[in-house]
Amino acid sequence: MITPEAIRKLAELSALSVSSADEAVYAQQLTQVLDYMDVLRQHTPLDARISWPIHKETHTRSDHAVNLNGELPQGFHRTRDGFPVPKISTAQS
Amino acid sequence: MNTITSYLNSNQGCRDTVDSILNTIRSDEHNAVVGTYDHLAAQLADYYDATQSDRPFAGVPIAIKDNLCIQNELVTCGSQILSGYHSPYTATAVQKLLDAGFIPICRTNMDEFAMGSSNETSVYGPVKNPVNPTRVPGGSSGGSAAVVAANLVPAALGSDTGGSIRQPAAFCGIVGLKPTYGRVSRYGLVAFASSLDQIGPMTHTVSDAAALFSVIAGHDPSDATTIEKPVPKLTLNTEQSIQSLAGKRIGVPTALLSDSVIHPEIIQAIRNVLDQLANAGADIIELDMQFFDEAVATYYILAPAEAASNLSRFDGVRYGYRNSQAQTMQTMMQTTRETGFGHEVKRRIMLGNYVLSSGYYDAYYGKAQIMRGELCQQYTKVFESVDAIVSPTTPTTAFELGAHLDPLQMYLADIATIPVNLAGVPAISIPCGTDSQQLPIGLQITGNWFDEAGLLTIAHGIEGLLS
Repeated sequence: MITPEAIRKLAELSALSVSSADEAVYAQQLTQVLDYMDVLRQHTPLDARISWPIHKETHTRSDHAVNLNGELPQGFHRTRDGFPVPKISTAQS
Repeated sequence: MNTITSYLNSNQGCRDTVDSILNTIRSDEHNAVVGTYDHLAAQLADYYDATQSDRPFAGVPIAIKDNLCIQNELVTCGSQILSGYHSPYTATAVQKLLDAGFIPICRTNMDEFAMGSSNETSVYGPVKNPVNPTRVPGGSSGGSAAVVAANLVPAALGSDTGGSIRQPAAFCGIVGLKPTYGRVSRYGLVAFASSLDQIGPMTHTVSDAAALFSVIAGHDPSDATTIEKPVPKLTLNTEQSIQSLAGKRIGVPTALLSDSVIHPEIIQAIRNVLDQLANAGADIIELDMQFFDEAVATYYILAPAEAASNLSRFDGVRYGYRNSQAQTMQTMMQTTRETGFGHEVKRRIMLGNYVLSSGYYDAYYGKAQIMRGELCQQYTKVFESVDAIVSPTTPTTAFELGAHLDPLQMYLADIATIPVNLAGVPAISIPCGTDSQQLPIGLQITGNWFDEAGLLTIAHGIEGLLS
């Protein structure tokens, strides 16, 4: 059961200011959502390990330094002078 | 139906095409577009009109969800708190589109920070479903789905954290692909839940989705979670795709064919597809997957927890909107976030901070992480015996605008799509008929990790069967 007082503390923790009218609404809604989360408490877990990031290759791949500027050689990279495409148009005109 | 191929075969000049689309967008009544890249699109169109470009998709217009960055362009995530924010860099996925010749035309409406399933939480107001304007287009990529369904553009990029590409695709009668987590770089995608977010294409056809996927996928040194695996370049042939269905092992979770969860008309549409698959020679295998309720609970612990962290950066100091009337730094941050975020975002931030807080961490966040691991193991086991999993994309067809479902009801509407994000496997939604109100029904096909080639071939075969 989430109380409006708990919402006030949560809002402070979240760097939010919530009106007292909204506190009651949020309290009711979060209580409803957290009640639903009880399906997890009732669930008997298998012998599962926590797995994040999801794919094992994320853990095991051999990273190496890559020059980002060379990754997209055909890229339309904007510069301070603007988009490079108009220069081509101007040259043709 | 405007497909990518139809644009490539068109004799119309790129600039004429771009101007025509921009004019149509200005009079569009679906509220699907929240901004246009007029200058960028015009420059690119003029360039492609003036040169014989060898870029494979030169001059094809595309829409971009409002949470993907393009350098010097606005990106707001459908939120007041990012009003006026211009990105200093371009998302890798968008850069790859530019490299391939696509022309980004517009930013599409979305649920605020991708949190929602109806596109009603956007600061720009709700999007109307082009199939039936009294209905929602789904969310969070509702604007992207709507611009494709309304034939404004042949393709759009969306992002999918718990079904945000597939659910609106199903509601609007188009194709939406969520690639494997790690396939497409998230660099330049404004983060909602970093371990779940993935960018993907929304198109009219599976072929177009495959083409777009092959453009945007690939390892990116700017995103440490992308995987160095070859990206399949698919050339899909309808006859071959249908023939390839023979002998395929298609799994069906019986829990998602229960009328206590899914609307009976949707179940009937899925059963029709299964009959056609069986007639095409596929083996239909019933799957006893019983984790769907737990998956929704897991998702709504993990996603808000990650969102609470990711969205803490929006404090009025560094990005977009700021309440400049506040007298102190703390008040400025609190009131900026209070007025800058909508209700759904604030609810999820507080929920995230609750489940992460001392005393509740093990009961909620720790338990959810264990459940996620278990769910991944179950998918691994399932894919030892099937090539793909077929299910409804959504429990219902598009619901009424303003139906005001309570948060829990709205969260449970994602029951079929959420497990896919938690496991990180790829999935696609394709249209598979309509209900008695002529609203589209979506068929979700889920593939093994990094087997987008197999997934798209099966989807293309089913699309061929249904047409």
